[in-house]
Amino acid sequence: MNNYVLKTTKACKSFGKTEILHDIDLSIERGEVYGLIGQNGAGKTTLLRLISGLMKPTKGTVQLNTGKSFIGYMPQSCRFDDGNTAAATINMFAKLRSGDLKECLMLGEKLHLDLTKKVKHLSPGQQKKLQMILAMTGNPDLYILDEPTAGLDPGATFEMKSIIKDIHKRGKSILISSHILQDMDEICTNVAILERGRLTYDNKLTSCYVFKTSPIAKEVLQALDKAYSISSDTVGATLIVQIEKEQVPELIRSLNDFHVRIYEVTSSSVKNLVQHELNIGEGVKRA
Amino acid sequence: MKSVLTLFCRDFKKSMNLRAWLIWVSLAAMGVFFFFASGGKTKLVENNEIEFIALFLPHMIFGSWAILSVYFDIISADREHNVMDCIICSSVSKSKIFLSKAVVTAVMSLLLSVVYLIPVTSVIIGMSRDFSHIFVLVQYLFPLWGYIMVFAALGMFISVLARSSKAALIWSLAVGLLSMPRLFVMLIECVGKIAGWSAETVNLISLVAPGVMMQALSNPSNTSYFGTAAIIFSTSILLFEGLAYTIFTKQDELNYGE
Repeated sequence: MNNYVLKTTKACKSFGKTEILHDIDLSIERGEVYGLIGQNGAGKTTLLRLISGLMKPTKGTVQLNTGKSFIGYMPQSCRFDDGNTAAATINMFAKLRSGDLKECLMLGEKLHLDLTKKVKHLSPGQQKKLQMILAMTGNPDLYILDEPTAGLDPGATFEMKSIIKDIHKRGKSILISSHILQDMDEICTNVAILERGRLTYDNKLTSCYVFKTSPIAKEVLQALDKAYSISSDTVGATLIVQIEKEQVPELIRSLNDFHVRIYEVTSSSVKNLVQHELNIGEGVKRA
Repeated sequence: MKSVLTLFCRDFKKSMNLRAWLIWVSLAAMGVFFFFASGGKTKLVENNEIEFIALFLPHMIFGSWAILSVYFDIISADREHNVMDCIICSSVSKSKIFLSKAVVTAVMSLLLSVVYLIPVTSVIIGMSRDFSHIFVLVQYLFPLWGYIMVFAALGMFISVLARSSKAALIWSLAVGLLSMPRLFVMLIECVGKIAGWSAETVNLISLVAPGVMMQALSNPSNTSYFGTAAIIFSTSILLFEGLAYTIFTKQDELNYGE
């Protein structure tokens, strides 16, 4: 049986003559938390909407392999009917999804959401919590979250991340788009980078390492780059290498052979990865 | 069908907002005022007759705007607030969403017809002390309902096509102005004169204006006009609803944001 919950094959999306997404091949397996990163206008929201079924691909396919017919979608911003209470809004979505209303209301209480308050009187943080509860209604297998922590205060951000981690613990698959890379580091198991409508990176987050070393000569970097995909800063003292855990000792040996001192080896953060892939920030360039 | 019913309850509650009530209660009050001001009262007292124009003058002037004001954002508001996205992602098809909105327009339009007719009918009965005038309500209820439904269907069509509520409002104002019966008839007469149409052709084309159509529908004794008006009424409703449905189901849901 296929283990993926979502698979896009050469998915393209154009508006008129402008192609927004080009040949997107993305596969999300059960239990994976995918972080979708990209600069403004890269096409992240369009991709999420394509996956959610809100848009149809111009070319290619989007396949969902979930047990439920609905997904947990949380848009960037959402304003439910002002006149309704949070509880009435939850009730409506519970009916639409044949979800357990009691469970949703309990979740609302757990998240300290005042269910008796009208939607228009909820703060932005509380509105996000309400959106999250609605996305969770009916216990879907796949969640698509568009900037879930944007505009939230630190306390609400912490709570939101806890909810997402809790969903992950239950074996659900999640696709998150966010500009807050620190959040991605904490939550995601995989990262996909979208650059001008193309997927330029798609891998497990742990398969990238940062090496703090003594300055390395250009020739050495070029030699290493033949065997590994390496990025370095301008003085060659920070290396970002895309390798699996098992390959790390081998690279350390190679560096030792070139008389390079290694001060620190850490599993890469999303921030390093983004700098590496998008060639931005703190002088880190591809080798 | 459970989801259609759930959405219907939600959409109906949403349509019964303060804006709709304020506009329609004002229109009903104007209906009573114009009944006195346009000689309706005199005709009633002297001949025990009720004149069509005395009953519906506010509709002939403001009707199209009053109706479109209720329906112009029936779909665009959900899109702008991204609520539509959440509903679609709850595995509710666009056909069901549209069906619930269409049923809401039909029920709401019937309710608005009653809201408009009850005060003026009460005044007529009160003045004439003749309870048989209750049939005024019955005689005009369905033509008025149909008239409101034409604009309601047009409102849905505009709401789908314009996508944003701001654009839909502007379109509604423009369409409301053009379909104002007197202006529409003047335009047709003008075109008719240039093209050399007969008076009968001009009258038939004028029936396209919903207000003129309603007048024809209120008078079943004129079989020819009644039949034509009934056909144009039904065709208009089906055409606007059909177009709105086709476009709505084919459209991508863009990121409208707030």
